[in-house]
Amino acid sequence: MSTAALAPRVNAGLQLRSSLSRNRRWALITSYVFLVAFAIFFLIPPYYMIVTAFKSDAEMARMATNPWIIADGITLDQFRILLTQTDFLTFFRNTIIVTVCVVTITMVVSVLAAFSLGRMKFWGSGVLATGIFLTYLVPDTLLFIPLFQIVKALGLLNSYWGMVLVYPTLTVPFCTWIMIGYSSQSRRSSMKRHL
Amino acid sequence: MADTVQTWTGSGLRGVAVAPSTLQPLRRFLGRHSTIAFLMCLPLMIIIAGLVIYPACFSIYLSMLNRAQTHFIGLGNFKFLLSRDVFQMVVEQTAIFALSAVLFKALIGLITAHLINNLPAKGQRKWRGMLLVPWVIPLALSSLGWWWLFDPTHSAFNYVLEELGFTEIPWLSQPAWARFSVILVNVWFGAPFFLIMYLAALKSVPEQLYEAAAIDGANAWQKFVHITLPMMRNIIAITVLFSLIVTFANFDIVQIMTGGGPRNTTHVFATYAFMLGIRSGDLPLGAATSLFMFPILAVAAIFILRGVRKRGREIG
Repeated sequence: MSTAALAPRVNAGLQLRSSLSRNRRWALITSYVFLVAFAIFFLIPPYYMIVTAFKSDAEMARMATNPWIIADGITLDQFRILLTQTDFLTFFRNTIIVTVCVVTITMVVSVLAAFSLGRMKFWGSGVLATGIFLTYLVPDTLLFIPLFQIVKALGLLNSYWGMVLVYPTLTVPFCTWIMIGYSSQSRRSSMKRHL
Repeated sequence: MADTVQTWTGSGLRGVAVAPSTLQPLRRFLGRHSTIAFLMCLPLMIIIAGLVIYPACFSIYLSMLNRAQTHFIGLGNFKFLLSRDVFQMVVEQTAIFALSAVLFKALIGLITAHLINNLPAKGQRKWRGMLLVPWVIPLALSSLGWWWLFDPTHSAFNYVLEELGFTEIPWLSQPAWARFSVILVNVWFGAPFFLIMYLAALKSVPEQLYEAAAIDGANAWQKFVHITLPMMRNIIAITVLFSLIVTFANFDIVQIMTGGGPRNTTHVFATYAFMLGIRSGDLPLGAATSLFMFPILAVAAIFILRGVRKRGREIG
């Protein structure tokens, strides 16, 4: 094959490559344009919440300014009022108590169960694992009326111990299910190491 | 043998004698692997039995009582609900709400996952983090944020519309717009979950398949239809069904944004059950309403379980 015959083909190859890279660049640009559009949609509410938190009462009441920007200057008044003139600190403490209790209960229960279900076998363990997955799929709103009745019967209706009792319903099956996957995976890899 | 303890172990039912003189068999029984495993699962079983199975059975029992919970009326509550116009509207709205929200969530998730997957590896993390923000904010708080955005008197959206020369839209006070708004918020909240699932699935499609298709001269659309979709079919099905369950049972968004109004048009099962059962104090009727969710959820759950098992076998 002579060089003269080869030349056009090389040329065509170069052209193809440059058109490919042009296509690639266009694909990238369209990707970015659409991603920016989606990011704006996803970030509108958090942005608006942050902006509004730093506005003064006067600006909110005037209603003439653009709600999307802070026109009268940034102020920390709202945070000061929240912390000093409301019961927010009490609510915050309640949140922390409930969270710590629920996370502790959930971790103890689900780490124990996930370890035994993922690594050991016992009579009915397969059925139990499936059952946990199914309870994870049960939405909280299906059970809130009977749970309300139970919490009421226990006299826990207006205390955070009611929440500490009810929240593990939602968290335990989820955590156990996730951790069964991990503990059976680590069993598999440690078995490989032994082999 | 007076002190016979009937307990089941790895091999099934078996009697273990606990003689006061020697505790040897008991110790051996407790030392067995399967017994330890069973004991470790015990707290979990107690929680599931006490907080899921018992309430579920109690809910069925409760739904067959009269309002004062004094006597049994069989299926009276269900019959009453089905004869009410409002309840028929709730069923209709729940179906519209769940199906359209899941459809748009899946579409947006698929599109954004592809867009992010197209980017160079360096920038992917940043965009993924940004698009996951809605999923990280507690739903109750972000619903409040949306409520402020839709606020009728001086809403941020209406400000933009006015600036652009359009008339104001009564976002939450007109039935059609209120329905649109709650679906929009649900799509906003749920799409990132699809994004993260699809992105992980996209990464697991072997690169060689695309290379082979490129050699055969396939364009981007053909690659998507003949490689990406078949490879992701199972994960798409699982995600859609799972999201269908969560969306069907949604409570927070509707309760915070509209509280079911205007004129009950945005009620879904959960908010309607809350209104009947806890607001107006007719617990049996509320329990009956929430039980209407059960058949749909059970069917979805069975298919998810099948999908998860199949996926597990495919992976290994």
